Amino acid sequence: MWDTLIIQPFINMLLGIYHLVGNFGVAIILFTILTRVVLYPLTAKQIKGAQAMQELQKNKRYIEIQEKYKGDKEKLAQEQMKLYQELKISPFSSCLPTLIQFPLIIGLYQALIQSIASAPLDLLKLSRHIYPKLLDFSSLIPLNTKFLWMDMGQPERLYVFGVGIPVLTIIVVITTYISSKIISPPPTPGANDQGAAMTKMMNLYMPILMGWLAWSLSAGLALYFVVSNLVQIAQYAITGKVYWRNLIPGFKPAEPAKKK
Amino acid sequence: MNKRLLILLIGIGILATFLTGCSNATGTAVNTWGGAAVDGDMVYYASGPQVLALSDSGLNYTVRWTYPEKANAARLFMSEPLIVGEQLILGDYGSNLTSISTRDGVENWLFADAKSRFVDTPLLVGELLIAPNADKTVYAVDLGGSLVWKFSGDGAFWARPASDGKLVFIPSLNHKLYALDVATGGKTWEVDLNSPLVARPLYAEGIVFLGNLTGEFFAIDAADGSIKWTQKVSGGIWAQPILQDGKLYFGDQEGKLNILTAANGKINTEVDAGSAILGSGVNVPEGIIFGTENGKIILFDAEGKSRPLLTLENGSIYSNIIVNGERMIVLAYKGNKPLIALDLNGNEAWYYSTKK
Repeated sequence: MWDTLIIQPFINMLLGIYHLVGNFGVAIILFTILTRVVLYPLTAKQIKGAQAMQELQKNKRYIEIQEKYKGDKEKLAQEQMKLYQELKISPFSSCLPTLIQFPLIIGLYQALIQSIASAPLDLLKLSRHIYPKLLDFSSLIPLNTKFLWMDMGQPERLYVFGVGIPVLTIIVVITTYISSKIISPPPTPGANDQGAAMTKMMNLYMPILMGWLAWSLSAGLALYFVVSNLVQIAQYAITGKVYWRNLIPGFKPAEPAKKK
Repeated sequence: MNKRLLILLIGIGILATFLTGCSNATGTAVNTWGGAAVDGDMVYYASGPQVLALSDSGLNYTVRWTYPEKANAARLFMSEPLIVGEQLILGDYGSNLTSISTRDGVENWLFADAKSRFVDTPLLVGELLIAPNADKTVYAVDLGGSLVWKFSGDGAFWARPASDGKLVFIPSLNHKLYALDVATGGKTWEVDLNSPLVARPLYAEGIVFLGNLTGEFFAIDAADGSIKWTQKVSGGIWAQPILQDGKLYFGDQEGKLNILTAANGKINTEVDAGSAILGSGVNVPEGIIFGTENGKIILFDAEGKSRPLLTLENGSIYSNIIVNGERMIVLAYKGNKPLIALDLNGNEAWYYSTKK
């Protein structure tokens, strides 16, 4: 089921693009852009949900509830829920699209590993997963997995004077940091600090986590992370709710750049 | 807000665990089957970060030693060990070729020039080990672990080569079969065989027999690389054929046992085995034994008539079956019994499992 619905279409899409461009790195870039575009409705929902939650932080009643039930977590949760229902806000609407992407990332990872087929069983599976009417196994395999200095099937390191520098990992950390930082709203006076603290924590942990994955897994997946982050930044920028000034250290919180 | 963050963090945790859990220490997943070699009552078993020496006492086994003593996930041993006198030659997925003592598993030497995986076993030609590597290079190493020559091709080398003593015939994933001079590593000829080559070739009487992954089987003149004949079978060919009484026996990915006339490639018989046959068969007095992907061990006679010997529970047989005297060793991918010792009628004597 998982193979038929996720892995097989991913492999064929990826290899279909590879067949057209002849380079696996370029194929991953185009495939990532394509999946991001397809997932845009989810991303848009995520942005909308996040914005609604940000607006809520400024809501007078919300602030009052936070103050009033500070010592009673159960009651606070009940009142918050009531307010969410009244304002028709789903607290999970910004989080759910992110979660939906996880199986896709796992699927992509498995598709990448199988496409690279660096071990016999992967090659066996790949030979069974290619749609024969769409793609010719013989002409595709072995793939050209070299892209710039990288081998898409191996963890990426750029060797300078014998020292392996994980360039792609560094780019993953930076782009993940930027993509999470520029969408974090400035703290609203009077709003609960807990939310801001958690956002701050996420801004710190997410780049580290993604960087760790990029460092330890194949370069192909790290490339996916980089392109995915860049497309996400572009998508947020299009909606107009980005806080570029958050990137300047020590800069006072500012209003977001509004879309004209 | 708390719940939201919690769900997200759990999700990331699961993702991170799942992705890195599929990988070894070098960060790339290893998905394949193991190998074994038998010498007397010793079984050398490679299928993971350690090689085990098991002493077969008839109805049970004793672990004599393990190499390395402490498992290292970066060094996965998945190919058949090669026994050369008292040396056991091991290729690993961490790009090392190692010689250890068969007596105690102590390391003799380690050859670390390669940059990628040793997927299959090296071939011994005279005093030279010819070791194909996935870094697109073939390494010729002497029995002291020193490099004698190397040859760079344009595709990964997985399968163990064949040799006539003067030339070595090496298949590549990039569709080509190369003939190299054993003494110098110089290329004598190459031939494009249309599809990835992962099966071991067979050399016999001036002919190299080899199948590709799209089911084409070739007989190639060892002298100049010209193709004598070609035959198309049902599925991809993963293993070396067996030549017996002028007939070639090999399985394919579609689950057929193919019996061809070696002289002209004519198909004599095509028998349905029920599921893919990836490993090589093995000769026994009553015929040839093959293992299948759905875990069946089947005995075929010279005409292709089959007799099932055993079906493994939840296990797939991809590795080559080994027979030594009255003992048969079968490796299973997945299932509860990864290594089983049987008699030639398929009766189990003992099995090895880390879960025991």
